[in-house]
Amino acid sequence: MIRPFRLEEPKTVREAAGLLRRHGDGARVYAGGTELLLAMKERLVRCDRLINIKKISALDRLELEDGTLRIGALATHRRLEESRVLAQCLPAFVAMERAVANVRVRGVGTLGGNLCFAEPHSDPGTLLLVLAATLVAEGQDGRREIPVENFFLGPFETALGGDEILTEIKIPVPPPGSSAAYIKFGYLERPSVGVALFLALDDAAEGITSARVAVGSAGPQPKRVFEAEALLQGVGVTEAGRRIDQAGEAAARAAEAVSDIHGAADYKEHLIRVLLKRALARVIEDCQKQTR
Amino acid sequence: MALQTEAGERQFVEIEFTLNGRTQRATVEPRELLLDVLRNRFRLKGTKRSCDMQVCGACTVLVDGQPVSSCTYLAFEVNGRNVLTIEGMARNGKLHPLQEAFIEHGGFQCGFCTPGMILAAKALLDANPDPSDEEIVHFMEGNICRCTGYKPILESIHAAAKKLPTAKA
Amino acid sequence: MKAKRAFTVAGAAAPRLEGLEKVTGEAIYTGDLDLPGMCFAKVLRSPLPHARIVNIDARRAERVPGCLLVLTRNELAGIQYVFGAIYKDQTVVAVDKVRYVGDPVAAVAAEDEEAAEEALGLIDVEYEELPAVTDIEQAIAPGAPLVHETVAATGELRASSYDIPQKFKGTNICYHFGYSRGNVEAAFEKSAHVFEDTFYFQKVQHCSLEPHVNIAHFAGDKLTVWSASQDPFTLRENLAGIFGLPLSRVRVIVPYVGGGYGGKLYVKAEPISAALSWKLQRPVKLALSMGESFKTVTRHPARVRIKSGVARDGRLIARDCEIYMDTGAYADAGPRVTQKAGYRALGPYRIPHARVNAYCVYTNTVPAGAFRGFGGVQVAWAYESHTDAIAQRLGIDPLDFRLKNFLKKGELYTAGDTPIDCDLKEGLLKVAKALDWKAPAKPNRGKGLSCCIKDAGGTYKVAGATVKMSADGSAVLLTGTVEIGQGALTALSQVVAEELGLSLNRVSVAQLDTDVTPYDISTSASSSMTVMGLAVQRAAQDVKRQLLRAAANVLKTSPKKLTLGGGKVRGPRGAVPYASILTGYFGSRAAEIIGHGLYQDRKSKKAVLGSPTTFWEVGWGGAEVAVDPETGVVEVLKYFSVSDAGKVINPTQCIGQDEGGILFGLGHTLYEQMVYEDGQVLNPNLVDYRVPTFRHLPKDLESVFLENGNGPGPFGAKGLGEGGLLPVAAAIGNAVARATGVRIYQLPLTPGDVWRALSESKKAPAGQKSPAGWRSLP
Repeated sequence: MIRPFRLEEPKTVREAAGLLRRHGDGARVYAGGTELLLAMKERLVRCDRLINIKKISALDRLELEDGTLRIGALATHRRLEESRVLAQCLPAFVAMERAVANVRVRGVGTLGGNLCFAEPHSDPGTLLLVLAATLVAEGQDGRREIPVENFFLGPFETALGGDEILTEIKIPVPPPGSSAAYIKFGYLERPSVGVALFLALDDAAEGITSARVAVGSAGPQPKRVFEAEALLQGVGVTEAGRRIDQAGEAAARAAEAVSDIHGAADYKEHLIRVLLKRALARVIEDCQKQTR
Repeated sequence: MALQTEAGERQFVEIEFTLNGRTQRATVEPRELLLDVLRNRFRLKGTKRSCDMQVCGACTVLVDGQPVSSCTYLAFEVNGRNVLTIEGMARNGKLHPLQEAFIEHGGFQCGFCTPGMILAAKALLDANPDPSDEEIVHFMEGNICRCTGYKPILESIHAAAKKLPTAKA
Repeated sequence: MKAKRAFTVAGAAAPRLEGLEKVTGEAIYTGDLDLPGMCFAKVLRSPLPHARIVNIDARRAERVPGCLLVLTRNELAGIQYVFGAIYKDQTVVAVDKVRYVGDPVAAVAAEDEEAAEEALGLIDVEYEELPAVTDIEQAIAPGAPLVHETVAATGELRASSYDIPQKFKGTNICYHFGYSRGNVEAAFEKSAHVFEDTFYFQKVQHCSLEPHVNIAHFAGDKLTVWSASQDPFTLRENLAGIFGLPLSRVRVIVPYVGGGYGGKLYVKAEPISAALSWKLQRPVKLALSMGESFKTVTRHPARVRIKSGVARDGRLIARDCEIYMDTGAYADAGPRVTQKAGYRALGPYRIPHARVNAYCVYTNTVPAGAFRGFGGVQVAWAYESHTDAIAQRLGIDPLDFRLKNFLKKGELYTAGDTPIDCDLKEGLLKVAKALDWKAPAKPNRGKGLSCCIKDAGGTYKVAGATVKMSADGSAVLLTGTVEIGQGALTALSQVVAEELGLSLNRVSVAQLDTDVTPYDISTSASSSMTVMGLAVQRAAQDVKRQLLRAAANVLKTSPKKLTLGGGKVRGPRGAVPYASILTGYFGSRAAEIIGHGLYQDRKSKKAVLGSPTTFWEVGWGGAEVAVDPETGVVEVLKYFSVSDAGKVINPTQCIGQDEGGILFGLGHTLYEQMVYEDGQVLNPNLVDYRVPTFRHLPKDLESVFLENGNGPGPFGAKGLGEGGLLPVAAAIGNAVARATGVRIYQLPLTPGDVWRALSESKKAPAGQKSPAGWRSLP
């Protein structure tokens, strides 16, 4: 049973931030609740005040504006999974959302809630890392944009300030000739390993002009792998194929994989190498399809 | 919905919602789970508690037509919404085609997962009247059955889809 | 040749009797009951795997508003608080030590669950931690810490007595089963080839979607218990023992049960709520969480070493099996599971010289008890993997090797037991055909076969049944078989309807209540269709005889000239409805015919288990798998199952039992395992413990039945429910071995473990690829 708490229902972000500042650690933001309520039932987190932000308008927006997808923090996984705009601009994101947990969790759980909870065994953060997403946070002192690389600090720990609320996720629409993939692996309810790759190819679809690589779930937090990106960026697709094992090594190292119930660290590292190779094939094929 | 605080510490919320087609009112604590309110307040025992972690689907009910895990869903959130439990599936004494199909095709054994299973399947068929095997698996994989081995459930859903009024001739 | 009997109801895919209730949410399970004055119990469980309890102080807990009673070891005076399925080694709450993480230490009853939970948190327990053993190797090591220093370890269960042999006193071994025939050592000497393999089976849980739940209510000296139990009469006996009551003062009522699979046999959490109610004289509900069910009962982890001697022509001539079964902190059904594992370890083969030693071992883990397959699952994984491993080493096709060595119909498995009652080749050839066995598999794919037999129907079982025909000619069945989902109530009603010439909607089944329902030993061992089936059939036949006599009397003719059908007595002068016969005979509508039926297995000193098996449950399975060599993922593309049904009473339920069993098997073959670290279970929940979902249903899954009328049950029926499950692990394991060339000896075949086995085999120098421990004569 959940311990008693006070429910607060602020109408604005500013008001919510004020409540957070006033009540400190005992206050919890309620976005979807799928992770938070589990933790509260198990009494793993303290919650004296539940700040329900679901009634704040515009936090569930989902629109394309000047080449940027603006996703309100309260957009549910299910809504993203079924969004036509997203399916057109970011099919990899839709595919990732489609495979989050189950239909009930997707129907209630929100993208913003997922990111803020920062459970290491999770999908969206890893993919957002290669999509160059920016997270918008708002507190009493104003609004700031946080590049997603700087957002995850560790398990269940983010860069949000004590009174800050994540309001929006901004993702630049990838240019033509580019593509992304997120491949996850696991046999339990939560993913064991997730690998994300974004590539932009030149007009001939032969050279990689931009590469972003990220790994998640295997270790404490999702991470960009700059070393792997450097190996792939500026080379031809054939050369990239030759270098992918090396890039995989870098990604496996960067993941800081831990041995746990999801698998041994060496197995997770191996999976990262395999999945990155598979992602490369998939992304290149997709890029080339676009130019054909 | 009105937030009220009683003289002491405890806070209560008045909610009004549609439950199986009827308007209902309840005063709940914000922390109360929908599953407990349905089972203990409204005596609707068809909704079952099992894994308590949103994995098994035994506690599935539909809120505004969408499946939710009532074991991990705060009751106050149904204010102004439409809740359907297994007790509301049959209309005027007539079973829903899914209920008929589950009986006919052996879509359950012990029956503990069945209410959630049927409600999830209803949400699926309401959105997709003629789902493929893969579409059924995608939608239903969060509902666990330990008895049947799933195949008869798959068959039940296909059979119900054919019987639904919206089914293609 | 006898004319084939034409059936009207038996054999029909009749919809479930309780179908309407279950699809409308009206079916009542124990947890759905609220009784006047009911209070709620919660259990405080040990956080340590092994510790002495120095002190328990419940004073703070007792002060919680709404807390009614804290049950600790200090409150047990006046009852026989020691109980157990076979050995009396378990206490209502811990007395001297806690023996596993999850061991009940204390219990609280309170006005609501919240107060109970709050009070739990305020019970102060002081522990002195002891060294723990959490697996077989640790438990049998010399000088290992003892889980039980002293145990009153003798017990009798169904014609077998159980005891710890003198030489194992002072160790963690709590039971030994031995069997031998021929001269094993000499036969190994004579064998052209000798192979030895050791297989491991992990700890898995039943994961009934309904966790254990019960309500106990003492009113004066009468105890009534509502429980999600598949074993109400054994439960009654244990509770009567604990509280010193005559059996007639303990009443067990069983509402619908949300899954059993063996996990709700014998006694589980009921003594706790009963003890609370004994003090409080109020109904006490104890509903365990899924996590607590994980800490209540599991399947036995096992280590099975098999050594086989094979003649030059490929015939098995000798076998030696050494089996260790990890029964956890309390024996529960462990000795019996161990006995059965030992007895079943030889498999469906003719082996003239054989020896089995099976040991049941205590560890500081969750108790292991009955679980669908009952020891057969662990040894079937071992012996059918071993069968393929032998064939592979000899370069013989595993199909041919099996066909060559199968026991024939009518041959004896062991002297004194029921002869093998079906043609083992028939089923296997069906599987081979369905798999297109001889066709080569594509790269990274493989096919595997498995055939398993199990002495079934339970040993020395007893069942009674009553059928009542009311004045309108409809019938009510009273049976002690629990409807745990298997469809027994429907199938048994079909037997009644068939015998009495009634349509199924004229038959209903009474709520199971030990005060009125005839005695039955447990819903287990695939016994309901044979053991209970025969009792039910005989009860119906008793009614039939009485009805015919009454009809002869009313119609002034001889019973021999009358038959029953369509709810009417048919005679020389037309058909008369039963209602007219009954009212005519009794002279008013105040009429009822009651029929009784009894079935009892026979005892036999010649039979190894003390009683010949009711029938042989036989399952054949074939799997085709694809293995991803990079990730280690095993995908089951096809699974084909054949079971010997004897006679299918209800095809829908039979298929349901078989396919359900197959998915169950898929779970422990590929995904399920309770992971222990430092004595703690890391994954007692469905997030981290994977049971099969829709996603894991093989694209191609089929089960078919042999129906040769060769069963002892009504109309030639055998029992079902475990046969489909037994072959799964080995069929898949054999398919994986053929797909990859690597045999894995430990379940489950998780992606990580398969990948590791593949990588290690690549690393091993060519000469070391053969598993150690086998030799061939030049």
